[in-house]
Amino acid sequence: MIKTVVKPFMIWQHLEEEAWLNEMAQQGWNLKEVILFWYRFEQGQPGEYIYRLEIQDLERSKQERQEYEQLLLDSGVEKVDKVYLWTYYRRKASLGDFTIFSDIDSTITHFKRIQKFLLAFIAVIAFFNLLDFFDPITDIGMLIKVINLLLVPGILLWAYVKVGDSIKKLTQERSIHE
Amino acid sequence: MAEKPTEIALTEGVYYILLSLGEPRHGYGIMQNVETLSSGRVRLAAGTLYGALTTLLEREWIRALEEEPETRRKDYEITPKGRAVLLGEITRLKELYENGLKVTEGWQHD
Repeated sequence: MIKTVVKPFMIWQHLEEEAWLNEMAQQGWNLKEVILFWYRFEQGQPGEYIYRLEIQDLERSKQERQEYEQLLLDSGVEKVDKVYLWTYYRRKASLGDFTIFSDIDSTITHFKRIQKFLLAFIAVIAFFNLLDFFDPITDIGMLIKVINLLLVPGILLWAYVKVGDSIKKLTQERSIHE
Repeated sequence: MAEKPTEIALTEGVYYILLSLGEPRHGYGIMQNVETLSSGRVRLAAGTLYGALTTLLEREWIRALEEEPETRRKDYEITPKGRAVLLGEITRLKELYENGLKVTEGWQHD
């Protein structure tokens, strides 16, 4: 049996998304495919898989990415799907607890990848909004132009700060243990 | 260049990775070896291990051997620099351990 669920998660909500996917897996709904906010599940054994998400490290070469994928494969991890920079992984729960990151330092590095992506995204959007803002031909009214200019970069900036809060908490933890 | 003693409080993961690379091993081989060495206590996750390997290569504490062409598995090995760091760390851990024992001697252990 197959089930499709529409559920919007934002880029800074990957832990919530992960938790939801694992709840679904606990009920026997195993994620098979993701198209933006569309999640397709296949029915299987409850609790058979553990799901994890990872944002790609853009600094890695193609060869490094392949090598990393091989390491995941070797350790029993399956790639379920990829949506832009996010990859959805799963591993059989019978192989034990499954995480992509096993210490605080690397978890922080992962959060910083998200921040880096957000910054790049903000820069691109702000650039095009500015072009739009000073374009006399685009006649959409000043108010809409101002909203355009500020709204999306504003939301993304807020996301950046939220991710920063998570990093701060982890950094505090790290000052007393690994 | 010698690493400053203050820079050698290694993470548990890095410590066991270096200890595993006295002989050439690929990523998954390191994972298995670390788990065995620590009697199952330390399980390096793939993202953590791969990130650490990248940093250790940059620092030249380890080096990559020729890649097996078909399998996309690279073998790694500790360098003389890495050995020096590891030995320095063991000395530091010895100090921590011995001081710990000295001070807590006679404390009740539950």
